[in-house]
Amino acid sequence: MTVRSVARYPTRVLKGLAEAVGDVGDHARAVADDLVETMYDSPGCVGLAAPQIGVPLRVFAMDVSVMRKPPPGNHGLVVLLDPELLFATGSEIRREGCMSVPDYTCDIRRATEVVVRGHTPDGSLRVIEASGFEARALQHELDHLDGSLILDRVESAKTDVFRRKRYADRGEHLK
Amino acid sequence: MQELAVTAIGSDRPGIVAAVAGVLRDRGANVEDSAMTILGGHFAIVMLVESDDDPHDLRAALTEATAGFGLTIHVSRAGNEPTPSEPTHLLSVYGSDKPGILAGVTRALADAGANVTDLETRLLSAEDDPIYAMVIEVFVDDDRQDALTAAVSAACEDLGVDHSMRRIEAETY
Repeated sequence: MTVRSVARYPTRVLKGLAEAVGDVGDHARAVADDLVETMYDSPGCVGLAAPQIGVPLRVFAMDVSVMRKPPPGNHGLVVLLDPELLFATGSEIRREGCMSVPDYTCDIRRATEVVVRGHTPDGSLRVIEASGFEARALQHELDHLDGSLILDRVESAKTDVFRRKRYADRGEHLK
Repeated sequence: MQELAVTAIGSDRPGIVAAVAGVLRDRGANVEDSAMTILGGHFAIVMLVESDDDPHDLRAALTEATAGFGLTIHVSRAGNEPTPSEPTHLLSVYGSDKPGILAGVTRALADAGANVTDLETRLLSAEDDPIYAMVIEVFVDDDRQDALTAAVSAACEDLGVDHSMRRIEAETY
């Protein structure tokens, strides 16, 4: 397990379509381990996708239980390979930030309830039913696997783009 | 009553808006719409006011009352201008900062017959590789949407910047 440096835009891997893992092997497991290690090492970070550590693979790690006020009923650490969004409903606008787009947060509309299916690092199937902040985090990570950043999701020019006051204010918005 | 457009620009200091608005109130003008911003210490405000004043007189009164702020003030009749259209598309453009991104993208918009209704630009993370990001709202006629999409894609490719454009869907709750 290694703490990797987090790629920032304009690193091209962040804008590409990540490749499917397919059969889970040692490489994918090592990437998953590094994602978890790097996520926990980054203050306020509740999720990280493989392109953010420079790996164009469809893998992400997420853990919203580390938030100051953990959302009730959350799944703790979730690591998924080749995740698919099976279902999404509801709509809510909330502020998001991203470790790969520093100094920036913006209001983004996301589904409030999602069902996501993928493989765990040991190769078994896992289905996550999430709501609220955890559902938002999942959608943010899924976006990373398709090369989509928060700047691609902004909803209006005037009110949705906010400059962070200080880097230390990142709080729990990072993913 | 007529509509007057009042603009004031200068170095930012506390009290500018209060001084300008006080003059407008004292002269019986009513502020209908306004937008103010500060960029790097520079203050700018645009106001649409309903007023019986002669534009020249109002400008003189505003200039006198705000002399301590050193503002540049302009007042003109605002009538007879077309009502701004609701934006139809939202365009995000971002990439490594370099001169010409704004010019290139807005030229493409203009050539496609699109009108910019709102524009915000920012420089992100001013380290050795700052990122230029802008969010533009535009209005375009339905029959020009394809031309708009093609023009923006071509311009962004030329400039080497990323972009995404989507239709603004008005939702009523």
